[in-house]
Amino acid sequence: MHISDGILPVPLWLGGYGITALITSYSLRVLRRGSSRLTVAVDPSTPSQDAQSLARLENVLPKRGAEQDPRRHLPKAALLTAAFFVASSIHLPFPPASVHLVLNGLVGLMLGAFAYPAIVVGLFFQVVAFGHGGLTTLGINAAIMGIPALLAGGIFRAGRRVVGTGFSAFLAGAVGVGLAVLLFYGVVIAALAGSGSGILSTEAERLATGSLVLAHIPLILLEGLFTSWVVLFLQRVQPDLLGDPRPQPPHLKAQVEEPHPAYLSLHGKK
Amino acid sequence: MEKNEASPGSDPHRGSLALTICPTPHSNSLSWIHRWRPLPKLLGLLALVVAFASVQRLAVLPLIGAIAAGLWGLSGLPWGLGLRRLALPGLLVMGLIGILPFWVGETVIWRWGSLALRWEGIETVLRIGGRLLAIFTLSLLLLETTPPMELFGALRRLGIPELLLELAWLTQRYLQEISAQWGQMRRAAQLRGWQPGGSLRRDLPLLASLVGTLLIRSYERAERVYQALRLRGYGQAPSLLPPDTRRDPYSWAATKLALVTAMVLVGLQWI
Repeated sequence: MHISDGILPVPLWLGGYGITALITSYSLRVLRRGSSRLTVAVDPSTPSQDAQSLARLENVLPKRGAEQDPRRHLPKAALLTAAFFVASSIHLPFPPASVHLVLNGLVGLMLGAFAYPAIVVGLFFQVVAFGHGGLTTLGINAAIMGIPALLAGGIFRAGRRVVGTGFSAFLAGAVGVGLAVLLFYGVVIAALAGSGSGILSTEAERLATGSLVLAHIPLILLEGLFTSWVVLFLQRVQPDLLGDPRPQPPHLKAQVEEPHPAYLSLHGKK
Repeated sequence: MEKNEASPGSDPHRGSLALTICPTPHSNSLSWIHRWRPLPKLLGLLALVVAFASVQRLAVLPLIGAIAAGLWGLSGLPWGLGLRRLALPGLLVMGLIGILPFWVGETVIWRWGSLALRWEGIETVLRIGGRLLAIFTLSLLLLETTPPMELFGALRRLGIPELLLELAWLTQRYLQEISAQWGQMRRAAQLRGWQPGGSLRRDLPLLASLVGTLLIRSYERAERVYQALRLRGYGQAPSLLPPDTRRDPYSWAATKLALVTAMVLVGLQWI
């Protein structure tokens, strides 16, 4: 779902860059304010072992402005962007051919406001590495993938309490790729229709877009299912990544509730 | 520990995704395209790209093709590289090239049963194909002849937010390593008996858990990377991206030439 160079008229791809510039600057402003989704991903009340050791390391470092530094989240976003880039190269057998995952819904629900810049960077590297998309269409491609990603993140967070983690993740994944498909074909067909060559009437345009989106329904369901499984896996193994506190193991809880006898005798308690 | 975290890329085992992200430009080459300073080069090539993208007249297509081919020839880059990379982007374009001549327009130039080849469709395909070829060539030229850090530095001078560029820099730095890690995870799963491409019902949950593991490893590593970077002064210095202080009047002259060419091309649309 990448629009190549040369297909779109200049005003359309310039408009794509305008939309991308607006949303990216908004996302970066959110990040600078420290209210990004990434900021709440680690719950300080339940630090992991790694986090505790890192906190010790943090004491060695200059403290001034460290917590407010928006760059703090960059390595995290960069590594997750790289991981998503790699993961989106997965091809799944889908007879008679194979499909590759888009994962923009998963990016949206994990990176929150940072999803859009991450998608811009990911798409830039797809142009560089594979020639997918193009430099002129980077902005419009980012809008096609990024806006549904942001929406998917919102759907996940809003729907989680109502319908549960698994189903809201399914919805986020499906809506993310479904809306991207709709936008992609909408933009391509509108560009062809608006090229002045009388390619499509409005009715034919609607019909073509509808048919192409319908043809992608299996991919949409597959993407939703995959997103749901990944999110349930993360919830089980590392809930920090979804913004949840890490559950305390039962044996640690028991230690807190019942102090060791040696501790009690040391402090003169019975 | 910190050194390892902040200095990736030494793993000789690459995954299936052997990427050429921001390839090291052919620094030994002495072509003037390589010596064209990043900022003027970016501006000049972008002006040409905009002009190429606005071409509507078929008569101008050979001209933009000649300009793109001439610049590629001047760069000294191998022609095979351009042709190899060109094979990649074209699924959508190939689909359009296959469909549009039979779908678009009213002037039938050849008919076989209900299948009719139309002139307007051929025109549209030539326009799309010509512009794609020329723009793709210039994009590749820019990326192949400019080191990534210098390109990011030029983008910063054009007003692209520094956070976005640093995100790109870090992503590029860790992409190959994450890709290698993914390759290792897949190989390990295969050694445990997984046969990729077998059935969707079996592949999907396994791949979901592999992706989840990759995300967790990346996430845990990110904190260590940040600490390692900060120990090296990250965040204290003004910027990761070095400023381009070299002045080269020839570079700006080349940019002016590119701007004039772009204006001529746009002007040709109105003649």
